[in-house]
Amino acid sequence: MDWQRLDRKATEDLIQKAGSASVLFSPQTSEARRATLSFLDNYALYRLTNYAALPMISLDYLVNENTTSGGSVFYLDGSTAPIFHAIRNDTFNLSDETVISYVNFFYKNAPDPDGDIYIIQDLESLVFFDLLESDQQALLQSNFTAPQIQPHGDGSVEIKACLVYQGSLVKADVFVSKDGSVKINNIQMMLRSTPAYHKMDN
Amino acid sequence: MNTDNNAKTESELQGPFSQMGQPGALDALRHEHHDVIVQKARESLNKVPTGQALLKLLERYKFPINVLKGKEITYISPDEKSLTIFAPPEYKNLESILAMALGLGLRELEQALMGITRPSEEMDDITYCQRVLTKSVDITKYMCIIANEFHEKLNDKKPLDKVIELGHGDVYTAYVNKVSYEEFVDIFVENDIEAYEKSTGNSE
Repeated sequence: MDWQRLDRKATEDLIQKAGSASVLFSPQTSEARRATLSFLDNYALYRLTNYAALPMISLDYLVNENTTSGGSVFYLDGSTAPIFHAIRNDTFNLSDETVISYVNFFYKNAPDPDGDIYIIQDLESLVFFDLLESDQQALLQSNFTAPQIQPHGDGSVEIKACLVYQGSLVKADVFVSKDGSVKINNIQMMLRSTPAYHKMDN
Repeated sequence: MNTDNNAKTESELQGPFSQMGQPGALDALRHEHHDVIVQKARESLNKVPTGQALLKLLERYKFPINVLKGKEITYISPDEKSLTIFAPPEYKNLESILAMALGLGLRELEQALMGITRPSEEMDDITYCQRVLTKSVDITKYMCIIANEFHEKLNDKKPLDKVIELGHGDVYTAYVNKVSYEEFVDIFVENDIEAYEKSTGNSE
């Protein structure tokens, strides 16, 4: 995620838009950041972080930046509801270029309780690759395939890809419908039990 | 402005950080399984010795506990008198992570009872930084203790995996190896600087 740090005034504005959660933040000790979402026209991802809290606390929002549409704000509360609300209120651009970003965004913000799910675009970007045993690395290198994206005529998109899936590495078919729902089918195990690793907060 | 998934409007909710403890301020974010989550966290924390000790503190002082909706399990104690836990909508099989959040929140409340209160803007810079470090090191050590107890006594590795996810893997190893307090602090600080540099790309 390519974050852009916002100035004090923009931070104050976002705190005001945060609704109930505004009581968790003050402009003096908080910072706001913004990231563009390639799959939505008007909504962007905003993050409020309170550095004075121990531990520091961050909350994420989908904010409609189109001022003519009322500027709705959805708190990303871990459920799929705010994501679907934003999609219904915006133009959802599902294409070869955006679908992987969307799937990874979806599971980052509506996480599966059994563990992380995300599409691996290339092995170089697999953060725990260096922590694997050499035979596991060789197994992955020989079995890895880059994501294959297949748009359907009805606006949905299917991806055949390698994924981190609930603590394992798998090959699977990821189906994204035009309303934003995501389903994972035909799961084939590649590597059971991935190592624990330091997750950068992104 | 429309805050569709927030039931309250911004006008009635503006305020400084300290308002968080006021009744009703965060009702719109309250987790629908609030009571169940608190119960599950308490039951799970009660399975490890350090958790049992921290729960005695809760029984004695009866700190209010809020559970709010959030993507990840974490906690905050804004007024040092109450505890707020963030929990995702789906929390099955995450009881030990909830327990660790509850335990660490209780430890922070215990810190305040011991006089190690949150740093304030009135403090000079050195005192402020010392207080942040003291509190952070103590909480991280308790994180290691609780994770270790879940792993060793209950064969539950989830809290330990969480410690590693948060970037405290080296600190945990230092704890298990029973290093001195000074060495533990050094490793904590080193890890903290590394995490900051990685997250910001700033390495000067």
